[in-house]
Amino acid sequence: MTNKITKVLIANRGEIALRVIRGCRELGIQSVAVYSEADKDSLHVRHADEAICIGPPESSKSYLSIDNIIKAAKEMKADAIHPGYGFLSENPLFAEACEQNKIIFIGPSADAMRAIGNKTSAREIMMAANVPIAPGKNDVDRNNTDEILKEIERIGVPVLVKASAGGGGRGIRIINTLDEALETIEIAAAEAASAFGDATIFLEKFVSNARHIEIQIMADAHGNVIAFGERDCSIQRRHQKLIEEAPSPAVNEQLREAISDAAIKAAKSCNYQNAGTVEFLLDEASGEFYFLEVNARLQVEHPVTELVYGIDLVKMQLKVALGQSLKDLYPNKPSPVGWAIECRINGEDPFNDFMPSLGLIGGLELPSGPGVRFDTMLFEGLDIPLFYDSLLGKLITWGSNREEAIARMNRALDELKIGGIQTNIPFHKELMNNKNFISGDFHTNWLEANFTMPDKPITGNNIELALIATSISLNTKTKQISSPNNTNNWAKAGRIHSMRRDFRSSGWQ
Amino acid sequence: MAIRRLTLNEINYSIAIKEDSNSLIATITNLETNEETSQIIDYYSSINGQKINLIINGSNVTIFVQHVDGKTVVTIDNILYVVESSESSKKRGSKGSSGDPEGIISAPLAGIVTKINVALGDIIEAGKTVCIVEAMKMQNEIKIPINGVITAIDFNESDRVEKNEIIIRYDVSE
Repeated sequence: MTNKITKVLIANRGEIALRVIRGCRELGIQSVAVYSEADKDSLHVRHADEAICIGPPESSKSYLSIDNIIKAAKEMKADAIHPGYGFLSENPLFAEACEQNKIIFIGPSADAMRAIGNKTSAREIMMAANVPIAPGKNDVDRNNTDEILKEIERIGVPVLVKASAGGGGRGIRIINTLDEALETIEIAAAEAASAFGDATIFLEKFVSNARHIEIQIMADAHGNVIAFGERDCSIQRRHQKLIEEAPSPAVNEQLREAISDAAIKAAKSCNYQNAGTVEFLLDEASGEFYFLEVNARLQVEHPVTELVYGIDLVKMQLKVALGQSLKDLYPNKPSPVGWAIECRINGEDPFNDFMPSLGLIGGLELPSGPGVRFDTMLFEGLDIPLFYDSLLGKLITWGSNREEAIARMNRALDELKIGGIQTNIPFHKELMNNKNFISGDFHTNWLEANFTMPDKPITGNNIELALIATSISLNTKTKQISSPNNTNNWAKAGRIHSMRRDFRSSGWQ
Repeated sequence: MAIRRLTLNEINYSIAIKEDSNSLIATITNLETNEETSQIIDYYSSINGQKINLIINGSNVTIFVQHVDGKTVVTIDNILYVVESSESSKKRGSKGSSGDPEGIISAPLAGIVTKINVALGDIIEAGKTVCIVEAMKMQNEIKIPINGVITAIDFNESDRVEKNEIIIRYDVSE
């Protein structure tokens, strides 16, 4: 079976849209960008071969509108759609709509998404396939309080109450004592009903001090499934990943093989196709690991896997969607080389409880040099739209070992300079120099329980530099306004003229 | 010689910059303590006044500068500082909800007003959330600092709001 793909519409925005466009271009496939009215000026729009507006800024009316995107794909004569991550990427209705309109959906089937999208049914499928799952209770009958209490006693507190329809760290509550169990379950069910439209909940043992380990898988249409090792995503804040790495400091070759086998079983048990990620919790003390969930899409953190396995997951996705066999695409046994780390660069203020920081990117200097990759939507002059998430880019470094990858990350974080908004770069600098991080000694609760961001420096060098720079800039500005050449038209025409007007050559007034 | 009065972190400074052949000499006086320091800048370049490169005491530094609403936003080593001209700083009161003067509640950051919890005439206790401003998927709960009676609501739910725009007005009550 071989499909034909000549033009791919990317149903996403930001850095991931750009990432997919790059893969298409390398394969000689045309790309179509979609954009909301807030994203006209975006980098992905400029990089794509073609672009089409799909609605107003609100995601619900643009990037989440199946109708608008399918309509755009037909209008632009795209024969395939890549969903990226987030938005519609794990929505079975979207995959179905593509199929109905004879558009190739680059991802798993709607059936596979449904089977693993519901957490309770995913647990049942994994149990049947002998994939280890955390002790728990699937069908919680909220009226049978005796049984609930018996089950909690059997599992042993602390116990998590999770929404069946939840995922991505949302809709979770913890029961620490039997007394609070029933009340917590009622609250969790009410929350699940309002957030996901489904009050079904299940119980799962809370594994404390666990690591978040996930396996990258790729599955073709011929029943072949490859596991490209693990990523460690244990550095999290409020269930949101901030730093990811591959391999994991806590996983040796034997354990890698065992978790990878479980992930392959998981993929096969639901006839999974294309790229996916199987998430596990690893109890480092016992070496036990438990299935958490399947992410039926390309992950944000896929580049760390690409760097240590020397692969291009986006191009592999496209080739698998074309019907090619993994036996031809990757005949060898995967084995990681070196170490890769990713820092998510977000528009958030680490000195102020990670509050969002928005605005105009007034300056940008990009990192480069050996082992450095920066996947980003940023450019000078971008006014970051309010409507979407705070991810601005992903800084990824590769080294021959973990130490070198960290040293390169430290250097790259120094080279990367973003002006005009507060980013979380100072947070990443702190982490790269943190003893626990350097020794690989952390788990999913470590950051929130043990790490404190130092205060923003408000004395010394930076203050003097800020005052000096402000003075120089204000003097420059005065100079330009009084310049006879600097008419409004010139001001509009923009930078070229003003860049040549080096302040130094015109001197002080 | 250019002399300016600037405010940073609520401290007033005076900055004098003197050009001296190939270098600049900056003299900074903290007007609260009268402490004075001087810095010799060996080299500097400025692109449009927005990107400034300095060599100072043998180290180089790149600084981004933007002028926004009469303030200057300076980014040094990925840390953001807001500098105000002392003359203009007096005119500007609030820096967001916590800094709002009595009687008004403004947006601490640009975003979407996703929820308004109060109606005209409501008597609201201090510390209650009156509205939520969402930016980048984060919900920022805006609270009333003192007891008040709501007298005006300038926004509807799902309206876009700019930083420091007044969302709600109230009369102080007992």
